[in-house]
Amino acid sequence: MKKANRKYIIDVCSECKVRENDSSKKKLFKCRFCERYFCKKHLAPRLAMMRSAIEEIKDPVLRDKVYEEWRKKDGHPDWAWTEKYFEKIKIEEERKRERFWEAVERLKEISEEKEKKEIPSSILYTPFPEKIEKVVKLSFPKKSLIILIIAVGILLSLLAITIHKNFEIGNELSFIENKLYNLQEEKDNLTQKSKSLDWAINTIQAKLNSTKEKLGEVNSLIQIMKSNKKYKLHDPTYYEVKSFLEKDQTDKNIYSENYTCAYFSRDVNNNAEESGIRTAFVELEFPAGVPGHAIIAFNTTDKGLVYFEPQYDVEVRPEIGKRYFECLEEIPGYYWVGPEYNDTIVDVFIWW
Amino acid sequence: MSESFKIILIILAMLVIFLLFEIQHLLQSQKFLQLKKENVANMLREIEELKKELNIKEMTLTNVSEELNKTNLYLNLKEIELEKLKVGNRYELQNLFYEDVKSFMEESIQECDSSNCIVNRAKENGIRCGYVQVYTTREKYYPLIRFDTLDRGTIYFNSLSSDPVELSSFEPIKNILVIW
Repeated sequence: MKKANRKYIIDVCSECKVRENDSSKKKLFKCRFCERYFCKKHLAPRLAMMRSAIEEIKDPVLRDKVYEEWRKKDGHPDWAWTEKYFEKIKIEEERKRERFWEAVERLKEISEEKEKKEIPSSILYTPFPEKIEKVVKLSFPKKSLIILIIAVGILLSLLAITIHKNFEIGNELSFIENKLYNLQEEKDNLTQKSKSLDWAINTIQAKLNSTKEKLGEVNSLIQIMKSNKKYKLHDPTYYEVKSFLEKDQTDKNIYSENYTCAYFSRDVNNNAEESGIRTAFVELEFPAGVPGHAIIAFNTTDKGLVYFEPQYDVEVRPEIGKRYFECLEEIPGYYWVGPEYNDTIVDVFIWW
Repeated sequence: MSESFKIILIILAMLVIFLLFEIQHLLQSQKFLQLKKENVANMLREIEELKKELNIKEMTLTNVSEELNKTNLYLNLKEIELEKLKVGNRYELQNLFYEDVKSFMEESIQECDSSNCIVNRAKENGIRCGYVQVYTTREKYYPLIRFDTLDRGTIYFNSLSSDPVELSSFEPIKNILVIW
């Protein structure tokens, strides 16, 4: 609001023109000390005096202060303000001096009273607490206090850094411990899996070994089976049977107690099968108490099942209920005489 | 020395102690952290090795499984071949192994009640066997069935049991007739 109310004019700033060679027109504001117009940059007042004049100031503190003010870059040299500035400094110096002398006077008085009677040192400060405080401040080892404060500051910073670092490490530690826990779990799982795999491999390996062993056995069985003799038989023709029986010499054997019909039948049967002719051993059952009889049979391809009496190589047509000797084929010029025992056929058993 | 100066000194001393304590804690934590990091690194290495080992094992398992499958397949083929070799008919008889004869007898005693039936059944199935008459007197004989097995030689059965019988149990034997 203040800025808005401030009066200004549009013109060339004399300071800009002299110092910066800038003759452009801009907003110029009125200085409240010298009442001249300047741009915003050069509006502030500064000391209007020569360097040699400053050098003449004897008080080094005041000289440094004036130098500091004189070195300001912006603003404009203002005689009115310079005058006021020095007046203000003068007043301040006088006040300081007065305060100093007052303090000195009081110290003198205190030391005199102290000499007269022993007064506790604490009372010394009581009449002029504010003033004495300032004196103490002057005598106090200011540097040590500053160093202490700096040390406390540094220590606090270090402490803060250390605590922060500890906190960070704590966080990292908990993260790593968590990670370690997860890794341990993963490792346990993997170990478990490894054990399962070991078990599976061992089991399958054992199965494989057993299978290979079995395979070896089957192979050897196959070898045996392949080398095994096969007894190839065939059903003969009637003519083939007749031819075989003619060649076979079993009928030349003599019946005895030790070479009965069963022996005849066995020999013809085994001889025929050795020749590849499928032959049956036939048992004829006679009535109870009468020993049975053995003959042979062939399943001929042309005349079907035919029976033969191996003792005579004669064909037989056994019928249940009929006497066996009546079943024998007739030979021209011969006839069969029945035995004394009952040779009626009761049953027929064929053993292929 | 003023009170404030003393207080500041005490604070300073406390701060130093606290700082030292914190620094010691920090150093210990750092050592512990380092140890943990080493543990993690070791663990990672172990896990890596375990994974490699697992890969190898899985490959081995796959290979062994494949080999087992192939062997099983081959065994099946061979068993089929063996079974085919064992198969015969009434016109092609052959001797078999003891186990085959035994299982044939086990089946046969369920179906047959006489040695005649068993012999004819065996021959129908291409199994070479003989009808045997063991004579203990001139006329009395015991009917048996004889098989010449490929692995255990000659064995005899009666029509009642699937267990082989010993010929010696029929002593005194007068004669034996084997009709093939």
